[in-house]
Amino acid sequence: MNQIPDIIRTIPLNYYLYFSTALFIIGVIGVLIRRNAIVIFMCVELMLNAVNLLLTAIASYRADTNGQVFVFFIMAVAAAEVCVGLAIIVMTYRNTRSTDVQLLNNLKW
Amino acid sequence: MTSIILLSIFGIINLFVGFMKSKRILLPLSLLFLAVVFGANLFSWNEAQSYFNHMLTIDNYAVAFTGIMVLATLLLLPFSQHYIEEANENLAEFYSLLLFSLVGAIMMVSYENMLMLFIGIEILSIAMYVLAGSDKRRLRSNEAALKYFLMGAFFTGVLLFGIVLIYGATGSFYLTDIAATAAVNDGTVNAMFTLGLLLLVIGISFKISAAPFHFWAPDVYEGTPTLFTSYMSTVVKIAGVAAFYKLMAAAFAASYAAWFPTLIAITVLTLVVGNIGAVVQTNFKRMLAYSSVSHAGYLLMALVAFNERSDASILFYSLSYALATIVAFAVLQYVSEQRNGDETYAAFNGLGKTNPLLAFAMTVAMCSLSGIPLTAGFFGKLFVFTAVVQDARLMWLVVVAVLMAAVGIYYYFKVVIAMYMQPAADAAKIRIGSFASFMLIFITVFTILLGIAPALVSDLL
Amino acid sequence: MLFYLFATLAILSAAYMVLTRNLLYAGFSLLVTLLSVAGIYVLLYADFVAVTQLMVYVGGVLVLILFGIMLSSRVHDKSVLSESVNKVWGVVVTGFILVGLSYTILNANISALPWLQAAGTDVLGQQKSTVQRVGIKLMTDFVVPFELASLLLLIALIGAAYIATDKPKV
Repeated sequence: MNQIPDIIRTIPLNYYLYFSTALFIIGVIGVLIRRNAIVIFMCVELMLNAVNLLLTAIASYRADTNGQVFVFFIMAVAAAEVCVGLAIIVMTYRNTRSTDVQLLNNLKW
Repeated sequence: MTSIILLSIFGIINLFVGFMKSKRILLPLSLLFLAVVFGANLFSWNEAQSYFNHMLTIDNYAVAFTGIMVLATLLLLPFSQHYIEEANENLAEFYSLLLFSLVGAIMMVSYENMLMLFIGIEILSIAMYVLAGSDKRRLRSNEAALKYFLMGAFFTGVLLFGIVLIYGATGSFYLTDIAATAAVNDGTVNAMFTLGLLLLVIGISFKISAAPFHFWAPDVYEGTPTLFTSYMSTVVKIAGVAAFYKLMAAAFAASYAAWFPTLIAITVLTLVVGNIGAVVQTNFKRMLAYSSVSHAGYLLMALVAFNERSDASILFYSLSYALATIVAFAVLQYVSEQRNGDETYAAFNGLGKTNPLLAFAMTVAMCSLSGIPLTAGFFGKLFVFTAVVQDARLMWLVVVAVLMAAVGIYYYFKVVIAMYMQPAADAAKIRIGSFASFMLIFITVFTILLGIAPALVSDLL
Repeated sequence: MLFYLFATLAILSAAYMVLTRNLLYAGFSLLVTLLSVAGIYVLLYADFVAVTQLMVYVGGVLVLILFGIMLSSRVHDKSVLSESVNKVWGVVVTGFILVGLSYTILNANISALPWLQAAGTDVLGQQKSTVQRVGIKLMTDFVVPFELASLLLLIALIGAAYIATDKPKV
C-alpha cells in the first residue's frame, strides 16, 4: 500500500492551520483598518490565499483530489472578482479622483 | 437542470441580439425566454432527480423556488421601460446579466455540494456588483458598487474559510457526507466543525442582509438603480434564504444545537434593527432597504423554527414578499422619475389623485408587506408564526415579531397617507406604458388572490 | 526547513502589506506572499495548484492590481500613500477573532481526526503528478461546476468591459 510521502508528514497539519489562520487574520485586520479600496482588496486576496493554502494542506494529507479541485475553482472565482473589482475601483476613481473609501461618504453607514 | 441550461443559452442569445439595432425586441424576447424557462422548470415537478454525481438535485423544493425566482424576474422586467426609452446602449448586457445571475440563484436552491453553493453565490454576486454600478456616471451608484463589492468579497472569504474548516473536520464537500459525519458524532465533530459552521452562517447572513451583517444594505440599495434594487431585494434574498434552509436541513440538521443559539440571536437582531431602522428613514428607498432587512428576519424565523412547516412557509412568504416588493420599487421608479429623482415620502404626495392606479397598487403592496388581512402578506406572516409556535419555547419570538410587525404598519402607511391625504405638489399625471400597467394590475390581483386563497401555493411543498 | 522559511516570509510580507502606507510597496509585498504560498504548495506535492497559483495569482491578479494602482494614483505623489483608520477598533475586533480561532484550533485535536489516521493512499499515484487526477476530476465529478465557472468568467468579462469603458456622453 502506498503511503503519503513522508515529506508532507514532517510538518504536522496543525502548523498549516496556524499558518493559514495567521494569514487570514492579517487579511481581516487589513480589511478593517485600511481605507484604500485597493489595499482592502489586496487583503481580501490574502484571505482567499489563506483559504486555498489550508484547503491544499488538508487535501494533501487526505490524499484527496477534491480539495485541490476546489482550490482551482476558488482561483477562477478570485480572478473573476479581481477583474470586476478593479473595473469598479477604476470607475469610482474616474468620478472621485480617489480610491479612498472614506471619501465615499455620500452614502451613510 | 433544463432551466440552468436554457437560461445560459438565452443569456448568450440576448447578447447577440444586442449587437443588432433592434433594441425594442429585447424586452419581449427576454420575457419570452423567462416564460419558457418558467414552463420548462415545471416539468421537473415531482420528478426529483440528481444530476452529475450528486452535484445538484432538482427536487420539488428546487423547482418551487426556481419558479418563484423566475417569476419575480419576469414580473419586474416590464418596469425597465425607462431604459428602453432612454435607448440605453447596454440594455442587452443588463438583461443577459440578469438571466445569467438567475443561473447562480438556481444553483443556490439545488446544490448538493459546497462547491456548487459557492459558485452559485459568486455568479449571483458578481453579476450584482456590476448591476449595482451600472449607472456609471452617478456617484452614488459607483459607491454602491464599490461598497457592495468590497464587503461581498470579504464575506466570501469568510464563507470559504467556513467551508474549508468543515471540509477539514468531515473530509467532504457533499451535504450528505457532512450530515452523515455529523450524525455519528452527535452533531458536533470537533471545535473546527463548530467554528466552520459559525463562519458559514455569518457568510450567508451577509448575503441575505441579516443583522448585524446588514450594514451594507441601506447604502447599496439606495445607490443601485431602482430596477436592480428590486432584483436584489427579491431574487438575491430569496435565493439566499432558500440556500440557507437547504444547507441547514440537508447538512446540519444533526447539529441543530450548535447553530440554533447563533441563528436565533441573528433573527431577533434582524427583526429589531430592520423595523426600528425603517421608522427613522425619510427616504422611501432607504426605508424599503431596511424593510427588506426586517423581512429577512421573518424569513429567518421560519428557518429557526426548523420543522416540517418551515420550507412551505418560507416559500409562501418569499412569494408574497417578492410580489409586494416588485410593486413598491416599480411605483417608486415611476414616481421618482417624474419628480427628478426625488425618492422621499414627499414625492408620493397626492399620487392618489393624479394616478389612482399607481396609488392603489402601492397601497395593496404596502398592506401586503405589513401583513394586513386579505393580502398575501398576511398569510405569509401567519404561516411563519404558526411554524414557529409549534415549539412552545419559541412563543416569545412570535411576540417580538408581532410587535415588530406593528411597528412595520406605521412606516408602511406613511407612504399611503402621503398618497391620499397630502395635496399634490405636481399635478402632472405620470405616464406608464400599457403593458407595465397591465403588469401592475396583474401583480395586485395576484396578491389579493393569494390573500383570499393561500392554499394555491402554501400546500405545494 | 523550507516550510518555516516560506511561512515566515509569507507572514512577514503579509504583515508589511497591511502596515505600509505606500500602495506600491504593498503590491510588491503581496507578490512575495503569493510566491511563498506557491512554494508551500510545491512542498505539499500539489504541483497543479502551485503552477496555477503562479499563473493566475502572480501572473494575473497581481499584475491587474498593479495596473489598478497605476491607473488610480500618480506615483511619486502623495496619493500613493494611504493612511489607516479605525486602528483601535480594528485591532480589538480582529484580536477577538484571533483568540477565537486559536482557541478552536487548540481544542480541535486535529491529529485525532478519523480520516487523518485512515489516510494512506498515495497522493501522487503512478504519474508522480496530480495534474492528471485533477483533470479527470474536473471532467467527471466536477463537470457541472466547471462549465458554470465558465459562465461566471463570461459574466465577469461582460461586467468588467461594461463598467470600465468610459464613452463620452453623446
